Amino acid sequence: MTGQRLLEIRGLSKRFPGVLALDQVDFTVEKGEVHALMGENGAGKSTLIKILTGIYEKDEGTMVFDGREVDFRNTAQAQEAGISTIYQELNLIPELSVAENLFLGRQPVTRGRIAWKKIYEQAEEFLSGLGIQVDVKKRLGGCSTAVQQMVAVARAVSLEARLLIMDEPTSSLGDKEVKILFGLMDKIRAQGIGMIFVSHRLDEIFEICDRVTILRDGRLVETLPAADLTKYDLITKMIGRDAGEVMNRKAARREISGEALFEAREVTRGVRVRGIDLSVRKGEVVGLAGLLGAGRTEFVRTVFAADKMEAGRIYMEGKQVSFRSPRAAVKRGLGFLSEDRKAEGIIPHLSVRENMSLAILPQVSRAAWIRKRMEREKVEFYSGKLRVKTPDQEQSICNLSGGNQQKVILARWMATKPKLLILDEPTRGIDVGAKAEIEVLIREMAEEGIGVLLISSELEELVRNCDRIAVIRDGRKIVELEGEEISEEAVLHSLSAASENGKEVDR
Amino acid sequence: MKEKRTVLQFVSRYGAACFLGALLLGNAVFTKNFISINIVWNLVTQGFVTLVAALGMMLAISSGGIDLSVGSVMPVAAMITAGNLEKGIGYAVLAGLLAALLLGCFNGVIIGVFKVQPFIVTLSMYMMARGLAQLTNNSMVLNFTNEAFTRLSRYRIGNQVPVQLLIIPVFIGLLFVIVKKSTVGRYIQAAGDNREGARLSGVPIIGTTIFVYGMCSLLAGAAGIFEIARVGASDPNTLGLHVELDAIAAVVLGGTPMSGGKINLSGTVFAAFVMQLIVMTANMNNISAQYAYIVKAALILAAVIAQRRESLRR
Repeated sequence: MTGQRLLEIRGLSKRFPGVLALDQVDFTVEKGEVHALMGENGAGKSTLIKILTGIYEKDEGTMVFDGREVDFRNTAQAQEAGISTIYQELNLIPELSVAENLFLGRQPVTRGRIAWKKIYEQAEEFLSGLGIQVDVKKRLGGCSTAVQQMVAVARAVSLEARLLIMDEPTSSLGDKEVKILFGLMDKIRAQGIGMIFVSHRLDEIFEICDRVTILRDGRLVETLPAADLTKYDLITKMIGRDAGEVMNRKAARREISGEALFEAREVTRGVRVRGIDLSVRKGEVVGLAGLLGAGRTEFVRTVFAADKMEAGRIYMEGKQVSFRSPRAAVKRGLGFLSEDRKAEGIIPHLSVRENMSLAILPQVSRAAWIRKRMEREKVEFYSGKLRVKTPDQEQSICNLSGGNQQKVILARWMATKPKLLILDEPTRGIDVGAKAEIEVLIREMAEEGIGVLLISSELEELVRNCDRIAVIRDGRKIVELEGEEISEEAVLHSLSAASENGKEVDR
Repeated sequence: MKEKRTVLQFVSRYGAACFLGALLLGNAVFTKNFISINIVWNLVTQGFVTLVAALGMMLAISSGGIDLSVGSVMPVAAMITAGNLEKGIGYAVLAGLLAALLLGCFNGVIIGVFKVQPFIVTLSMYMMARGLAQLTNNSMVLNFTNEAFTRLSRYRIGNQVPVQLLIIPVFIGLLFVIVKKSTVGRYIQAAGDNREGARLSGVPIIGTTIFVYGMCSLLAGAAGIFEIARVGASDPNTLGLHVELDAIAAVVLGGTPMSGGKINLSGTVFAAFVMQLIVMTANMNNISAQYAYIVKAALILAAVIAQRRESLRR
């Protein structure tokens, strides 16, 4: 089916106040092609997608979709023309069943009544045709993220989309689920539907994509077949300097000794956290490995008092502590970077300055009066240290790219001079360059004596950065790996061994 | 598109000021006898209550909530002050303010600690406080003659400039300090813009909430006290009626997002005078008050639509 042009963009430009977000970009998608759109944050990927789906208007250039010149004024027009977008946050209705979501707005009707039997039958047939096995009567919200993702894709296909834009569809999926999604994408590809695929996980690009287009600073770098590209080349082209700088930077693993800075004993909350023991020493980076839903996030949220602890004890520097609120935890020297930057990290309409100084307000104020100069100096210092790219401190944080937003939030915590910093997926959804910088910062903080508790679904990242890794499964710690024991194989092995002997380990 | 975006931003940021200017200019041209300094004095004295109530409402809305009870808290403070005037003006005013503060803190505790929606809590207070105000004097108007007290609102500097012109900057200054200079102002806006993000950054949500509703009520109480000093009597049945609606309208028109977050203080101030000027325009041109309502409603809708459009662009 490939070879027929589905989308042709020529000379696309888009200017925002102060920046040229897209500069004369050419971009094409063939029918039945999965085309990766790559680039660091701020390279222009989202701007291109937003123009294509009618959210932004272009300043210059032409777009030909399916042989017809188009210029969408809004998302509805784009959808009507056959361009659908699958976002990380899905626009489905969790309270309705899978089948209802699939037929939302166009339920088959017989004699004025919704033909439930027909809906279920058709949904079943349609989904299994795409290789999706799911109970169509089940409430969508009760399905895994992967299934929800696939229902969204299936809905787009059933709406006769001819171009699917998948913006980070895999970022909240586990490895197995990614495989299933890719299977579905293969089926759709065979139907001649074109797909634009955006992901920060480079391995996925080589696994699923036919061609790759790389953007940098709003300009087209190159479009070429994925097969002609190595990971090394891809990173080099994306960041515009040699990839060696950011890859292979495994730090020398250190022996950390001394008293525990932080200690959790038998921490319990609901079914997700079932009695976890864990300690972190001064200057140590401890990783939490595990599958999605293993209870890692729930555990650290409980420790930070973001959620209520049902049982267990926590010690800081040998003394038992009990936090009533995150505020109390912050006062005692904890910091917590949430995995969901958008919902739990940034304060979108406040400025970079206000976001960065939020947790240190008590330190930069006297009797509730903010000492502006002190605040500015702190923000200046950490903006420089973390190399935050922003026109000035007063910029609303929502205008920054994802990587820069993350740096601001990280700076928010670094500025508190925490004793223990909990980082939940600190590099999720940000580009390789910023990712490398954040990993370096983690090491630096550890060297300054901060204890770091790191969660990441990228094993490589854990192996690269951690002095010790605790493997979590079903709300329990299965094993701890230390020093030379740490390797991706060892973590994977302990995870799979645990599932084979699940009963014994679970006890 | 680019221009459109900035125009929208401009409208939501300075729209109220522009509108006030346009309204003044339009009146100067079309309304007979408009150009006189007395008009400004009238605007200041009559817009005073809306302004002070709107300043408090601004905090509530910025924090992601709303306070429907301000119009009923006004007569509570007013009745208590009026009833205690013979014990000394200072004592009476403080007693009135304290009552307002307590009612507001009650709102804040229910909202913050028990996590009930601000709409429901303050709607209950709207009814309860009105009832309390009426109970103080059996729903009867409380008249008083106390020149020292009424000077609070009636005094004219050099027999010309109303005293409100001096009082207004004090209130605006107070709010300026809270919003721009204090930690609590930052906390309010952060909590309104992203509650969970703020909470996880160590923002004291409950304390902030109590402060917001306490302050909002306190300002309403002050507005009520100044109002009876102007009128020379305190009517528990009608004092403050619908003030909350004008206050909400002023905040929204002023550019503070209804969904909470970043405060636009100057916008609120200008918008409060816009609300008053619309009524005055209608009066002076013999247009019936009903039209003033309709114009106000249209303005509010336009302001909210402009806000929506801007946030959708993001």
